[in-house]
Amino acid sequence: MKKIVFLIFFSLYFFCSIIQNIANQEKSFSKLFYDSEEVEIIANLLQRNKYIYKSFHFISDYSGAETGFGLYAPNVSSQLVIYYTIRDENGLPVKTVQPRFKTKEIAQRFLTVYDVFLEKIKTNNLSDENKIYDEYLDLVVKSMAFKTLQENYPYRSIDADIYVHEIPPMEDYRNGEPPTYKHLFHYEYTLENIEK
Amino acid sequence: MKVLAIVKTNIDKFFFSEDRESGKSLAFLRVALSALLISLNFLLWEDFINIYSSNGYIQRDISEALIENYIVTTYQITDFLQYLFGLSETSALFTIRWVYTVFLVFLCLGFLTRFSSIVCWLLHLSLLKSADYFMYGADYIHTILLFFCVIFPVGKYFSLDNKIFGVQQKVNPLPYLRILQIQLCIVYFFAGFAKAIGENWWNGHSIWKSLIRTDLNGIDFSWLADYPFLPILLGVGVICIETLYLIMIWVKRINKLWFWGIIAMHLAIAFFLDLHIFSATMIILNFSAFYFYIYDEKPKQFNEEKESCIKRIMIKSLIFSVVKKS
Repeated sequence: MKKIVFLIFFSLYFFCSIIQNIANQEKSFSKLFYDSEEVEIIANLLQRNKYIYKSFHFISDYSGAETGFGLYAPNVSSQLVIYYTIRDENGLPVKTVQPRFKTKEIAQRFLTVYDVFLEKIKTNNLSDENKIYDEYLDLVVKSMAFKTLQENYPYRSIDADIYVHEIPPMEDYRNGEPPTYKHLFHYEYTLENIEK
Repeated sequence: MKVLAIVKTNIDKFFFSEDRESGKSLAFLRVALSALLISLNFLLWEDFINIYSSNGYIQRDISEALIENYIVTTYQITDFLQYLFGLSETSALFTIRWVYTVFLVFLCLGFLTRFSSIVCWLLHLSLLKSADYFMYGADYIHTILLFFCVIFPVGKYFSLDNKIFGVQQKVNPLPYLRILQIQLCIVYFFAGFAKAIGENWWNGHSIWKSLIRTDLNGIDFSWLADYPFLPILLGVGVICIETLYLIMIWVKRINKLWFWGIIAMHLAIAFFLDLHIFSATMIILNFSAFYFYIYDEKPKQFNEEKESCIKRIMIKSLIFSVVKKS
């Protein structure tokens, strides 16, 4: 009996883990080949019954079965960077800064934070859900800008610029094309409008 | 019916029949994982407040918006501690990280192991979900491993519990070792397969893109552009070693080669991409799942068979010599 319980328990765990990973692969696949995230058969199947969907996520979250193993796949994504420009009371740039970190580990983790802004690069025909997420990401930039402004007291105005670090293919690099930082988004905040 | 019986026998044999002599793998998992999490905790120590306080880099309302309501967040624990003991937010966060560290030390030593692993698992989950944006793959794998520590009998081997409370009832560690092994095979299969569906791992662009980023390791790899076959070779190598792991690690003649190949890959990731925690996590998982299995432990059943065979030969030769003398 114990053996059967053991096997059923871990079969359920591995089932959740495998389904989660198939769903992730499907997402990458449709993004890569159809440039869309709508072709998600597994995800849609799970969402049909909200109780199954909730239970699935509950088990996956607590057991870690939610973990996607497709690290750095199917492609290594381009690195995003955010630069903050502090401005004085006349609106003139004083300095360009990035959040201050005390260890290399947290600096590495901040690169993960920047990765979420890759979602913002989708331009045309955003669904309502994606529009909300896009606005949510703007709030994340705003929150980080606020913290950076606090660290640079008494300045009251800050700009945030998001860049993508574009690396040319080997052949182009050999022919003299250097890696570049392409400007993507620009935000302007003052302490007053951030606090709102 | 016959097929079902064969399947049942094989499942039984794979998971339960081989009684291993020691639980080194499980003890290694417990000690190495908790030691790694303790070091990670200290690495994030100074920036802890900036990550988890309600006025951190990502404010509380923003962080909490995407967290499912069945997860207990560090913000909620902080509120609770503030309400109960009248602590400030900073002191409450300070308490959380100390409690987490102390129970990780307990887990490492194997003291009150089951209870310690439950506390570590729940606190880790809370810390992970409350600062989701700062987390990467390794942190999620830590959740899996801590969940395993809760379920597995990791405190039965080389633990303070054994010293203090006496040697507890023996448990066959093999079924748990099998779960670790299956987990690792799933990890590498999906990691390899996901890389294989895009073209950039086949044409070397992904390797090139990872290595040329000087913000990670400070080493200049621009010379690789003159030797494009190298990134191609490395990219194809990574796909092969990961996708085929779930087969090759079971093949006796080449499993050692595959094992050390994957360890070398993780060491390279640690050195060249600066992903130390991720690499350490995967190396711990590999050692727990396969090192002792490949190198160290012989199935007890095998030893018993060998022993009884030697005994039989000795008895036979004794009888033979007695008969011959008489």
